[in-house]
Amino acid sequence: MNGGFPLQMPLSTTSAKDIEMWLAAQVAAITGLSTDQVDVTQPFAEYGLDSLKAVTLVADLEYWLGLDLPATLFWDFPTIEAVAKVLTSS
Amino acid sequence: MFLSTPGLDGPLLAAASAEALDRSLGHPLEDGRPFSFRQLIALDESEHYPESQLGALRDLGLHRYHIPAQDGGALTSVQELILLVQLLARRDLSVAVAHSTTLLGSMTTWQAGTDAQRRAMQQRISRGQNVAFGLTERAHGSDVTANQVQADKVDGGWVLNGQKWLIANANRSAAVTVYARTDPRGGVRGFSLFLVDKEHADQSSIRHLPKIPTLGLRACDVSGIEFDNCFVPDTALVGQQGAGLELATKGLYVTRTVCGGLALGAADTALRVVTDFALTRQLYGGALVDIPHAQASLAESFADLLVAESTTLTAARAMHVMPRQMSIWSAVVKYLVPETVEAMVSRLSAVLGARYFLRDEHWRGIFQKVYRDCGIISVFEGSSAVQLNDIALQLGQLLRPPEHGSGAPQDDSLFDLTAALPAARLSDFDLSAHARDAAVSRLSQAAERLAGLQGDPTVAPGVVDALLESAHFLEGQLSRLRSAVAAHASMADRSPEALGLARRFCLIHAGAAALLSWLDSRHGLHPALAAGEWLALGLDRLGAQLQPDSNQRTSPWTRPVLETLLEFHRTDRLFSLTALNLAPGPDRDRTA
Repeated sequence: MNGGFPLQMPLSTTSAKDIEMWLAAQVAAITGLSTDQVDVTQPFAEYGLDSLKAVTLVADLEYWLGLDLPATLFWDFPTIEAVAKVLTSS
Repeated sequence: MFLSTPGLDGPLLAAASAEALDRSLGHPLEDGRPFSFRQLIALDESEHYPESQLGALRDLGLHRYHIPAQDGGALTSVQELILLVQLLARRDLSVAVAHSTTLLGSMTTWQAGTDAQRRAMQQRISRGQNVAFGLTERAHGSDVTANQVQADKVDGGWVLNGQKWLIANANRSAAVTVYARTDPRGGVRGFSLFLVDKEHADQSSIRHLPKIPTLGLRACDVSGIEFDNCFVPDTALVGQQGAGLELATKGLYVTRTVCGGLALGAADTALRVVTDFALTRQLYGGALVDIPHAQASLAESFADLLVAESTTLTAARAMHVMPRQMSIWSAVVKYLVPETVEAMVSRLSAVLGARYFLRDEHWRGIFQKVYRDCGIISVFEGSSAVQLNDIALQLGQLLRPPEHGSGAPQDDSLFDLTAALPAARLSDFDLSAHARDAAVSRLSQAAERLAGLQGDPTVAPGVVDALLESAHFLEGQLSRLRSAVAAHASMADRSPEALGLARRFCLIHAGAAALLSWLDSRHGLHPALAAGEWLALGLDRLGAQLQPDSNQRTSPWTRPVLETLLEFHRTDRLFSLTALNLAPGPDRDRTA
């Protein structure tokens, strides 16, 4: 999934489902879609998140989770589902 | 020497110190020397590459400042590197850019290269060869994820095709770091960096484009390079496949900060020639320098220059102690410092009057050359709009009321310009500042510390009160900015409003950095700078930009700041917090 980029990834105690819902809400806010129109398996780029916007969203996510996350998280895990999975699977 | 610069007196720089460097280049009005204004202007007029000047800099060992100390070079402090860039840029921006391009070309290798790649780079630069950076393309400008130069995987290496355009030293380099598409679909992981060894590549697969005629920097080789099935071995890949966008961006954090040094050096010369003119020009029965509006222009320019230098030098120090914040610090420098210098040069041209338009008057016509040259600094390596957009995207996070992150260590010497630095952490940069800006977050501490300075005999009367007022003003502006950002629908919309809010952040950051670095460094500053009037004037001027409706008025600080400026001019000191001694002037014929 991530092309072999070595990221130091902390584990979240928030559930994958909650992370998916939070991210879907963020993408919905950015695109003007409703949350249930956001497909967690679609790449962020499909929703207009360019390279820098994706970096910005990581910093919002780390604030919400209270974790230090790699700035390129959404570059290497490019869907909501993949992000939620990598942050919750040990 | 004031503001001691650790490392400069070491054995690595043959000239032994920055002051010795300037002395060895000679006074710029000594016409016979290669670094005189007369010869540099002749190069500019003839559009000849500054071969002999660059050779002289190599003889002095300056190219070794493009090699980090841990790789066997002289680069121990980015702050020191910037001081050297200032000294070159005060002579000639073409020479400074032509020389410094190798820093850009090699930076991604220092940050992400293998041991073998770093060793080869060290040897190449030590031989005196240039390395260029091939990022931009004719059709895409700053939109680098649209770039089309392509690298296709073949057995044992890659094959490059396509054209890089507007590349400094494209013709004058032995190697070029090329940003190329390695995934036909592009995307954030669709680009990679390749170090193309031009000497060992099949010569028929590389075509150099002719030098591009330019408004300024006419002695530079600004050109391009085209690849036609150019094979490079696997060992040419810098960092991982797909890391190109990330690495190129992080490499630019260094050179964007160094751009501050380029602009500051140009500003020194503009201010020096106009100060000299104001002292010698007789108008209305007196000297131009006695006319209040000329006094204000000179003093304000000096104060602006010193504030811009604080912004630049603290960002250079952040590479050593706050590397994860460089996306913000470098963008603030790259946006604010060239813009400040362009405005300063424009203001000073009014003092010079008709002579600013003449190509060989007063100090060999150097002013018009600075005027033409310095305008490009705000454009290359990411334009002002690019910088402001980068900041705008992070602004909501940066302005979050301090919660975590404000407890950052305070004994990191970030703002003490006189303190030695740990090694630069060029590989620890990050694309996001993770909601932290150590200048803005420490602003509230500045007010507390200022209160303790009341009655200090090294600070000029009235300065502490003025600085306290400015510190409180900046804090107020910070909370107003916070509300304005919260009220703006999308900081990602590239609108004038979003970029305007980012600009306000830059001004607050600059004010905080100037205040904090003065507080931490004042014991090592020249007494006239430790006295603080320049800072009071500089912060008032930042304040006027944050509140543009405020009325123009004569500042009580104009007179003392002008006196310091005139003293620095008379005694041949750099217009800088370092107050460096420059090459002493020839004793006659200073005006022709």
